Amino acid sequence: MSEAPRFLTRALLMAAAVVVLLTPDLGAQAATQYDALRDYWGARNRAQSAKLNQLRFAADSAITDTTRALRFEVLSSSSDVPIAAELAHVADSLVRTTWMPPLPGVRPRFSVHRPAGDLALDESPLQQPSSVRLVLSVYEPDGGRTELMLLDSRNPAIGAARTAVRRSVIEALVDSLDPAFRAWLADRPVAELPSPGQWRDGWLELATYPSLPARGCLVGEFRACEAALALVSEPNPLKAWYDPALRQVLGARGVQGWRGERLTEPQRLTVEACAGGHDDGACLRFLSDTALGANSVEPGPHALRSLLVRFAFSFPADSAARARAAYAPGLTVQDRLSRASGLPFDELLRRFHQQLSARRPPPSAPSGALLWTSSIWCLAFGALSLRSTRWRG
Amino acid sequence: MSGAIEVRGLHYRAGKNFEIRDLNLTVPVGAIYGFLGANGAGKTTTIRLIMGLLRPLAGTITVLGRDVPRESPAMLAQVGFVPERPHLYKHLTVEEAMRFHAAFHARWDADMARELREDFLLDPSRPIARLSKGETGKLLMLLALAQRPDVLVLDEPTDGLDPVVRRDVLTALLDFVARDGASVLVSSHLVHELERMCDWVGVMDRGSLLAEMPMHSFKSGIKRIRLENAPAMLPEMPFVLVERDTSHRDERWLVRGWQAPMSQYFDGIGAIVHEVLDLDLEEGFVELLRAGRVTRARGGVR
Amino acid sequence: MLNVIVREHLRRVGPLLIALAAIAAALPVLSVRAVFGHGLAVDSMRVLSTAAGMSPYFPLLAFIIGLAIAMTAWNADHDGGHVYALSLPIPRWHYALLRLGAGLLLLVPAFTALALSATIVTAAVELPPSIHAYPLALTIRFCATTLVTFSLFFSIAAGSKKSAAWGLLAIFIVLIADSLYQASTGSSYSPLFDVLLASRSPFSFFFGQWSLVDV
Repeated sequence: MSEAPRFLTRALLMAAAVVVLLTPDLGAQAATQYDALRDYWGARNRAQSAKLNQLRFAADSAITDTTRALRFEVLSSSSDVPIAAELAHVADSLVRTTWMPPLPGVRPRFSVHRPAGDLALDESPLQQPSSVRLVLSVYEPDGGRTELMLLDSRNPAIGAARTAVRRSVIEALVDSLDPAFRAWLADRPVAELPSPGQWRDGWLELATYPSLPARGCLVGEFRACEAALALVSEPNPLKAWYDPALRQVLGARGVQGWRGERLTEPQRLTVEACAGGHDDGACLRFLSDTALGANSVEPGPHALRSLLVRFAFSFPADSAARARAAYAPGLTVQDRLSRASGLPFDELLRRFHQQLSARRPPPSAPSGALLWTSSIWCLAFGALSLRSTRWRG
Repeated sequence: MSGAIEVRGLHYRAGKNFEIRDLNLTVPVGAIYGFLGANGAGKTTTIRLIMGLLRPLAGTITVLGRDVPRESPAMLAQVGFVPERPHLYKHLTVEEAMRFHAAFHARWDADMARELREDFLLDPSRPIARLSKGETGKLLMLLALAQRPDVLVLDEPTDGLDPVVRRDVLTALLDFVARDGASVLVSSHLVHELERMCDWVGVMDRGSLLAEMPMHSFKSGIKRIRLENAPAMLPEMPFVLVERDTSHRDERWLVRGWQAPMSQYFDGIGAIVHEVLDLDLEEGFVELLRAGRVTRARGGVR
Repeated sequence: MLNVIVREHLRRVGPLLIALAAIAAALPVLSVRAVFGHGLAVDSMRVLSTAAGMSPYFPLLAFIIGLAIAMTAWNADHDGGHVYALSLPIPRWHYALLRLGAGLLLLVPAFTALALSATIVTAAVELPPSIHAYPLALTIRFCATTLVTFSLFFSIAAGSKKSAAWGLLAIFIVLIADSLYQASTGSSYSPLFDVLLASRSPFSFFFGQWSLVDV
């Protein structure tokens, strides 16, 4: 090979190596399956920035002082929105006692803001660039949003405060739920409307959950959906919810959690027989043994339940009734959700399933945009190559 | 004169040390034009400029009336080219190289190609990378001839070939020219080879064309004259004085364009001619180069 | 003309092309083997995660094939200083177009190998409910990515040494500028990556859903 092509080849290989080396971890992208690498980097950068901000926040007393002087503006009467007032109270208390004790002489004020038509947003302090909103929307009637406002034009680290308050409020909300309802929800937060991404994740969890109800629900069987949501009691769930193949999957998953643990000899044999496959009896014994695997026996994914609750709370309804539905003791899950949504439970479930199916991740079929974009790039690079000069000197 | 190849006012520079300046060259239609020059004289560069492989800084090049490089594709369809160094794709076999070349030349003569391949004893299945230098030279000539060009541009086509191969190649070339009447520009530093086949000759040195004339004029018109009593200031001459060497007791002149009646000129200026020496082509070529260099070194005019 | 250019290119890359096509055919097999080899094909989650784990190899192979064919497209001409190509009686753009077309045609065996292999192996296994095979979609994505890679590197290789040097210098300057930006702002945000991974960038094709089996 002469000098020129060797140089060119080396140069291009170097360029290729640079691109490959700078390409982010493809494994991470693969693990998350549906997140494009761009999102991965974006999230990673944001997480790093937030962490950095938090560290600065903790380290720099001057900034801490600024935050402690945070002002909470009352933008509208909280009496219109009872549950929002409750939340405001919880958040206020949390903010005062655990997060940002006020400086002497400074009286923080907490507010609830309901962005209704009669309150012009333009006139509110929302225009300040450093203001942030804490959105707690599910309890708001008419599809509106209740927003806890944290405003401080001087504090660049207010995002961290927002995160902390938001987490505290959600924890407080979940803690105050009816215990049975909370147990059914497996302590999952229910304070926000499900995002499109959460719907998509919910569908994925349902689609990949190894149980008969989950599979039935996926194809639209109403009773199967009820079962998958753990709303139907079964005397023998291991046999009702699983066939032998699925029991083996469940057993294998359970066994993974027990590897390395101290087991009795019979337990070890049972575990190995189940994990080894083709021994349904061993899997039944393993999954029935409370000490080993019975806790993992569920008819469907927990995420589905939280998704249903948040879906039910998203319907226009009286906020106080909704709050009572969420926190009142003694109601069945169906009743709570029916009251919260203002719909018969069957109808709610039908709409839920409809919504879930609509958010199914698009199949892997390449989009038209991909085909167009790739064609355009090919044409562009091809056209560029046609400009190859005849003057090689 | 309308030439098959015409170069006018050509200017090209390659780096700091080499330059072709104001080159004028004409290859007459139907002529075999020997392009003589020492190594590094600029023959290959000029040929590459003619073939449209290099971009001139100034001047015009036309081949068969087509402007180069503007009309290069049309020009190249009528021009067979044998470069100084083999340029073919080395991984192809002889047969594949012929097929490849044929695909691009509408006038490709497959029968002629096959005949030449057989005459040249080329193994069709042998990869070019494994051909000897002689075989490569034959293949290059085969490809150039079988496209039945109107003009052949051959850059040292026999350089490094043994006498047998050289004769084969040149015979094929001359047969083709005799049959098709193509014009040929052939560069070489092997003067005797060109002497036998060319009817025009151009001599190039250091980027300049020193002389361009019919071969017979070149062969008979260059003389070395020994004389004395010539005045310092000379009136207009009927021949071209290439060099005037006054370092000896007798003056020695190198002239071109000489014809016998011109001896009267010396009677007119009172000089006594002792000897008029005929130079053969090679001697003439060498003297021409030497004189050109001396003149250039003195900053004088030829 | 295209015919002889294809043959000429094929003559140089024949063995490489066979190897790449073989890898393209093997990859779906290996992918399905990894996914279903553990015997718990009924476990959708495991199937998906394993398939996702294999997915980066497809864009990697697309990149390698595109790069290899593009870089070899001009090698023979580079070796001879382009003298032969430039002495052929066709315009330069026409010759480049022929080389481009030949390169594109030589990508077809790899595409075909991948498509056939992916279709056959996914048809041969029983997928869990809610899990589907996407051999055609994967092949289309593979083709698009390979074609973009090929055309990108083909256009670079078609340039002269000088233009390649300018291109590399530009890449170097952009990398330096990006590093300086990061250093000056103290953040890990990279405008370069934003541009490279933007949805319309030629590099965006390497990311996305590359799984042979998916929901």
